[in-house]
Amino acid sequence: MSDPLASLPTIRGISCVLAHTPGLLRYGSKPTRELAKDPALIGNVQRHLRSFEDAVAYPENQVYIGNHAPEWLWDVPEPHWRHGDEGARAQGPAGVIVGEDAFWGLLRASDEFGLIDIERERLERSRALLAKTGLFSDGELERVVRPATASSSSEGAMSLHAADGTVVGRIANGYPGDSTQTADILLENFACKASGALALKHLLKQLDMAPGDVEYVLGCGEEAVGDRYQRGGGSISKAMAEMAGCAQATGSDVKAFCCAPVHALVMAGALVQSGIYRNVIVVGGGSLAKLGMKMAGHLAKDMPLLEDCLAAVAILVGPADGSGVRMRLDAVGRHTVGSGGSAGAIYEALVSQPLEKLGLKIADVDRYAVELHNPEITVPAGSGNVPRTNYRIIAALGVSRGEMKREDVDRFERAHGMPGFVPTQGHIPAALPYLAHALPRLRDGSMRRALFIAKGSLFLGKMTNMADGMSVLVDREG
Amino acid sequence: MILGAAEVGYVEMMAETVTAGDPTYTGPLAGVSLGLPVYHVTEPEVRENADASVYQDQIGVSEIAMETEPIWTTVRTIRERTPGTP
Repeated sequence: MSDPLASLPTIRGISCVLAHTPGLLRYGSKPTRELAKDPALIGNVQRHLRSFEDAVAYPENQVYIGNHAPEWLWDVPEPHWRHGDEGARAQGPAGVIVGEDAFWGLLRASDEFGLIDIERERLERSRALLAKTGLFSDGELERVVRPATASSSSEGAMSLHAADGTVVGRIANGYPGDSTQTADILLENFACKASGALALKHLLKQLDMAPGDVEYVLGCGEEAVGDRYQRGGGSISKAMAEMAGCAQATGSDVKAFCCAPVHALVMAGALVQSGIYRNVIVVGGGSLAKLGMKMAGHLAKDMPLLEDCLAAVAILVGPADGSGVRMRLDAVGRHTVGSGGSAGAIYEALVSQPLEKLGLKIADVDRYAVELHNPEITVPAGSGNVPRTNYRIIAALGVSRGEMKREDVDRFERAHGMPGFVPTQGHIPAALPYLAHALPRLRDGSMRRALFIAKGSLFLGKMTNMADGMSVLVDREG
Repeated sequence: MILGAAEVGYVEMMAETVTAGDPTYTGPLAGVSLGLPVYHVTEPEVRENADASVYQDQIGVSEIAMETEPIWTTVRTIRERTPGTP
């Protein structure tokens, strides 16, 4: 009988990209609502926006694109935004940071309906900046400067502003009278598509993979693409695949709030293990709605608005490739309807149960990747240190199961966790960006196992009081 | 008002919010003094009034994860300076 573990899929690579878009911060949900109440607030917002150079040098962003390990952040003096990395680069082994000047062009290139109209000079500059990344073909760069076709006086069109407040262009509504295709909603969708496609392009380049080899793309972003008859019923994954030149791919979207990326990763693994496809990419585009989400706390503390980046990820899942790295689909953790809603019950389902299946204890996992929200964003806004709270709960679970001692709770974050380093983009901090750091270590044998845990606040959608959760162990064979 | 947050700073902010008013002046309770008596769910006064098995099931693991001493001290301090608290 063949070894069932031999068919386990592997994760071949991940790209983590950032688009620093301070001008778009005003279109985040929280800033939009605050500015509607007090339009004069825009002056204070603009005074607290960061330059591209500061965003690149920000230590958490350098970790996100793979230039430093997350643990390095423990040695950076606080506040980190005052202590930029002197050796910072906009390119890293796992990703790239593009500025707003480049992103205008990506937004324009993402628009097949001529709805986004941006000044020609800006687009020419975008084309030049995007060309320097080495990620785009001449044909793709040409799409950056295509003129818009929708009338700039279209009903409901919304102005687009750069960081300094200058109007750079407009975005028109979609179908007339369709409340699901207003300019603000379409801007969210285009921002997700453009940033997700950037992550796809980077992944293909990083892995030296032909776009035509991608067979399926699973979108795990948070945007509701659709029209008045099926709000949220559409899909953005195939649109991203098209923009990235993956002509042989199709795709669909997985929705489960912040938990969707791990659901999608498990589904990708299953599609590969079953032999239906060989190369499946999970892609999550950035969330425009979450820019400036904790703005009130940051302004009150006179600190820069750190939620100024769209973050996106793309992950390639494929059959075993000889690296020894495996997705343990034989022990997926899932929070079921009957699991119960207490913190203990959630972690029992996501940590204890899958580990028990493999005969492992909590301390047998080298690193736990949890909700990796950057605490420098959440703590000043009163939302606490999210990863730390998660680590204390996992350790407490170990104590309650008699696997660990009470004093281990304080030590667990350093021993088996990491500082949060991901922008508060909802689904993006949900564990998977740590793959950029775990994969090299699993391959070189300096790490044996990492558990990736995501939770989703399903109750926010008003259809249930439940939360959701999903986890998957990635290990090294032997 | 019974709070359940795990971090002392967060507990303090919420306790202040429902007694003296929102200390960050960012929410609807800015400048509004509700003066509610505040307890943390792990305090003995609350725990003793809960069914032990339900408490263990719902709060047990979370309580191990919390640094309860500073949380209790913070909540008691705010409670004691709130007029009308038993």
